[in-house]
Amino acid sequence: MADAAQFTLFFRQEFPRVVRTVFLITADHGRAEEVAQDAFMQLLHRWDAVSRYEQPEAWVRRVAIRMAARLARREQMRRVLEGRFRADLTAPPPDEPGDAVHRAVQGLPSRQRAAVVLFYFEDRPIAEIAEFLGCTAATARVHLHKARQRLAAVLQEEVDDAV
Amino acid sequence: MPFDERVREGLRRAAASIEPDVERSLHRITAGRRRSRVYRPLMIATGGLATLLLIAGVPVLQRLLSAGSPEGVAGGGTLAGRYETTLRASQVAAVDTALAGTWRLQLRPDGTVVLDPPEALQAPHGPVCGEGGSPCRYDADAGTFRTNLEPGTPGAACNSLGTYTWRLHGGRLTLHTVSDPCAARRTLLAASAWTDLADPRLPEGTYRTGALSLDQLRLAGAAAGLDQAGVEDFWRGEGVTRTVELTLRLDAGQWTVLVAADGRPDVQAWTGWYAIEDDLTVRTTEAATSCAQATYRYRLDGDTLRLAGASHECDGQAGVTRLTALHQSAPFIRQHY
Repeated sequence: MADAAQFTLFFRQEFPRVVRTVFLITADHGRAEEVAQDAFMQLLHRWDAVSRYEQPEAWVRRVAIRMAARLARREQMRRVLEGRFRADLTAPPPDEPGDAVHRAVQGLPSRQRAAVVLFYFEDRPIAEIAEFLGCTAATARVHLHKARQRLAAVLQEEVDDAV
Repeated sequence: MPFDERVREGLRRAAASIEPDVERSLHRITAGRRRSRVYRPLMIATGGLATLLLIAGVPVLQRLLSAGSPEGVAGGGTLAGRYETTLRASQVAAVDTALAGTWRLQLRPDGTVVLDPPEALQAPHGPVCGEGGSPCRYDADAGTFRTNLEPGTPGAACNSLGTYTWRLHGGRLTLHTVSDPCAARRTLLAASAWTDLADPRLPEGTYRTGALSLDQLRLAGAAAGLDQAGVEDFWRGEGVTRTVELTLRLDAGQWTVLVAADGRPDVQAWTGWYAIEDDLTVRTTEAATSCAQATYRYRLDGDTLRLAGASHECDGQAGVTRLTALHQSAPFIRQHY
């Protein structure tokens, strides 16, 4: 019973934050909630063990972000295969809500988008971003570099190379 | 406002613009009812079967549930490969029209199953089976195919074991139901034959180069038309100081190159989709990096695979260097495990 209460408390604290991060990667509120629910469902199954970790919130965020990156990637791939990717790069969806930064981030390829969210919103270091994306640190740095260049171009900003 | 701060602030505002429904989500999770919205029609259809199972009695339910565990199906078999079928609306009308469409089934050599449903049924977190919880499994011997595959309906009704006879002939896998309490699975597996997607021209599997020194990498790069200094810079950026071993993995339409630098574990360096265009050419596609598409001439002599870049659709030279170095540093040798 105490475990259930503990999980409920934890859920109410962490779920909104996880959904928001996933939303920035998937650009879809409904799917972001579904992905977050899946991650917390996995957490619930392992709650006995994970609740004893020093940072159980890190565990569930990691699961959710990986799922979100996979989902975003699959969506991206689907659009590539349908021949829509090039158009998406040059023109973010015109009817998407939010400000210019959000629209510009949504127009990035999935891995670059995930790298930007992890770096700017989650404040993750390059090594962790690489781990989330399943690539080397050098590759993660390339994703972030390209994303910043592309964002700067879309937002008509100047950007230096330092990450 | 500086660029970095503008991006941070923009993301913060976007994140704050949504309000997650915490209590509804909590209720779904603690009630064990998390489901994708797109599965709802299928769940309703199988709900009746769940009720029947409960009526049939606890022992029957326990037996079926135990069959759903990895121990229930031993694993592996002679049918490993990828298959595809298209279900027409008329074939699925009695169960759920949501099942209509093209399904892909991957039977892995380790006995696990991955199912890709039609677009309209795509889960938000990947294939229906194989992610989260116990993996779906299959077992095939000379005449019998058994699986605890859950076609998008995790829960009591399809958390059971289905038994089929099978026949693989002329590139088509046909399954006939022996016993299966799960109507959705029966329909999915046996309503129509499955087409074998294996392409013998470039078999799926794992191909490795063996360890390559930096000198070898530089020379191979030069032979492929690259600048040696650029090649060395690339490999050092990947963490290589002495040697590298490259692995090419072809699996379920996915093309993945892994790098093991200086004897360390494999790290994914490139992944995308591939399609064999003809007896000589394979095309790879990747959305997330600077090279959206590349084509290679391939030649498979026995187990030795040689790749030569035919065209690269990259934003700049760095992408071309990367792809060339990863694919043309040495022949890949097919591994047989």
